[in-house]
Amino acid sequence: MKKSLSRRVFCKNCLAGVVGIVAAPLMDSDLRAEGDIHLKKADYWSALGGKRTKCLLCPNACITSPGENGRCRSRGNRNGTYYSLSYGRPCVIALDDIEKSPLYHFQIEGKAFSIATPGCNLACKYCHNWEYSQKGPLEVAEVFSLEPEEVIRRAKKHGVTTMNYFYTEPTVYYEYMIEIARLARRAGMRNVCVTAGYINEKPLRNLIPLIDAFVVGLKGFTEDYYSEYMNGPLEPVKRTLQILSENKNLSRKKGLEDKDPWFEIVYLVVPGLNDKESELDTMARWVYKNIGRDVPLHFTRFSPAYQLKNLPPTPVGTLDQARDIAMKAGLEYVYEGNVPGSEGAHTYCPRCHQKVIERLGFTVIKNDLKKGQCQCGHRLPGNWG
Amino acid sequence: MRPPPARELGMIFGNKRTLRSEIIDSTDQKGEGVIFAEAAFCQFSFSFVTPSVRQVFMFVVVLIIFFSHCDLRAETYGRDNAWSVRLGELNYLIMKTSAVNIVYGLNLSREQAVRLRDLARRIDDVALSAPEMKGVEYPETAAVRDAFANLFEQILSGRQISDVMKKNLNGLRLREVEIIKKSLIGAQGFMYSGEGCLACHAPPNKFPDNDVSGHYLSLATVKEQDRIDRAHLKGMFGNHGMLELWEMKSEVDQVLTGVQRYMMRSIQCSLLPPDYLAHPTRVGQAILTGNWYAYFKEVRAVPERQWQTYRRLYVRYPFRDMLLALSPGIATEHRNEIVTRMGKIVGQARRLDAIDYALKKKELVAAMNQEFESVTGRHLETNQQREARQFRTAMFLLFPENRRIYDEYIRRMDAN
Repeated sequence: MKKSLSRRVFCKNCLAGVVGIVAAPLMDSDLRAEGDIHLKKADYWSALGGKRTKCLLCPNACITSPGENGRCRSRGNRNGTYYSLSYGRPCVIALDDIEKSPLYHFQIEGKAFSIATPGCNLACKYCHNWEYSQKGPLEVAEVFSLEPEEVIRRAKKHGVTTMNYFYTEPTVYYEYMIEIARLARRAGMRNVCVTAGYINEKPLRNLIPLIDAFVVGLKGFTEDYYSEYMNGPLEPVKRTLQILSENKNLSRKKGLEDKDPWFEIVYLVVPGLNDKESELDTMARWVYKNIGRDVPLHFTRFSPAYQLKNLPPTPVGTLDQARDIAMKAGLEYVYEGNVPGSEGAHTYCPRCHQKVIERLGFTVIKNDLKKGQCQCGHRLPGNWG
Repeated sequence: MRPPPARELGMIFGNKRTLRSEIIDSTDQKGEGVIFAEAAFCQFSFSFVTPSVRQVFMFVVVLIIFFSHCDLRAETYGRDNAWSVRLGELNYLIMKTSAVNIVYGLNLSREQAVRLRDLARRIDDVALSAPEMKGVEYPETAAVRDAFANLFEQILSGRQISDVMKKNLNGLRLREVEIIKKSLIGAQGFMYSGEGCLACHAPPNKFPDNDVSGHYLSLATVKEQDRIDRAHLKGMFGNHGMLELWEMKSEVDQVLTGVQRYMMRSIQCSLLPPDYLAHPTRVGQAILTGNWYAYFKEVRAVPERQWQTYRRLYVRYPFRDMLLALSPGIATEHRNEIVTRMGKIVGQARRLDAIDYALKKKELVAAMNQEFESVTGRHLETNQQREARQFRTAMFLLFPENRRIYDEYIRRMDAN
């Protein structure tokens, strides 16, 4: 005889089912994080009450509860301890021309070992690498398993002498970058960091001795623009540039200018958003006054991507104009990027005005410098290797 | 018993009583074939020694009957044949589309664009006028021509080329290649002759019926290729236009910067522009990088056993088609050499572990692209000379009706 289902039993079973459906992902997430992500205890954080943590790496200063990740998606709170979630798990590795960074006063020939893990502490609306930068370690399509020692071994195997922390924001994989940089130094290699400069002072000062060159992205020069299109403030980036410049000046005074990292600035010109003449002029004058006239400034051409596919590529004339403005403001090395064939892609000696390095895209097709020195005797600033 | 043929011949040419006695005498000792040969020889010998009027007359009659059944007239196709016009349209559109890609890809300044537009105007005054795209249609070329014309308008106006359109164009390009190849083979047919374009490109009624993908066409020598290139150019620019182009090549060269001249050294015809803005050396030209990454990803995932069984589906057949699209007349042997080398690159890509592959993939893609360039660049060894490079540059930058391209380019610069 069939046993009939009572209303009570039926309701109890339904409730159990609903609870199970809702709770299961929550229960599983910690297990997935533990199983699939390589956890490494983070630097620069502090414990708050109730197992909450506060990240001290960048101005976002994320406060997280257990199980939560920071805005960068690359660091997170696990049971009251803050971890890096992408240590040893890069999503991008490549051998690139170092000039691609763009870095024009550093290493003329040869490749660099580029490496990046997922995540970023900003959210630029035009990001070309958004599939890596705006995703966490569990969300990207592919990650490699590559401990720092193995990174150096592979770099040596391919005859590469420069590490390049590139593609996404290296700040968010700080611990991984520091360890690789240390090992690279020990192996006689050099380190380049391509960053948005959105990092707190203490970790930056700790990083500087390990890096041979920085490329800092100055994406605009108004707080409104940064707030709306980068989802972060401008001021910390300016502070990063000032710290780098102070270090450089201090080393020059001591005659140790080769000890402190070289750095260059890149400004992506987006039509209609950050290309006003007044803004460019203000930015160029600020760089001249606060950073110095010999810091290379790159104006690169925007191409539609991510959330700004509706905009056209930057007209070449706009880049020419930006370059003119910057040079009139007193800057000596101003470049145009992503414009093959442009005269603004080459390096000119500021003394004799001769073209000393001729480029086609990322390829140097002619180099008349000898360890940074022009034939006229003038020594161009840079870390020429 | 049926009388041997010699006897019949003997009835026509000779004395039948003499022939009959010879055959009877020799039958017992020799085979029939020998008998026939001897008899025929005897008859002819006999005939030539003393031909009668009747014999000569009959000989002439036989000759007339024979030749009237063999039409040995040469099939000569005139210069202005409609097929010649249709082929000219395709040639024109390929060059014109390549020209717009190059003009846009060189990132000319406004002053450069204005100067080149003035020079282009001078060529337009003397060159042949653009084809009118009307007249007798050939179904073989109509779809290809219309797609190429549409592609040009898309690129000129700056509209993006969709993946669907690219795929369609690839298919049409293969179809066009087959048409060209069949026309070349047809022109090698017995007693074929033509004038102008039709000298080398036979019309569709002379196409071979069978599949020509495995057909061998002998590789053009450097001299022959020069002659072919000149013939193609003459078809677009005309004699006067070509002469003017040669005279103006230095002026064009002076408009360009050093880097732009450097870029023009490696420029070739390309229907599609690149997907991204800044490729270092092949500006204005589609490169296959993105496709190669997807291809390598696919072949790396194929299990070894399946690879050994179906390797030709991944390597031989697709590469063969791609090489044919690049160079319709490529010799089978040459093509096989390149396919073998490309196969080795694919093998290398498969053997690398995930990390080494990620590090080496750009190099592998560059190697694949280089194999393609080795196909189309083979006959260009002499064009490394400066004058030849200048002429090729002028050819693209001053192509007939390039004024329209420069007008659009300048208009967009001014609007921004």
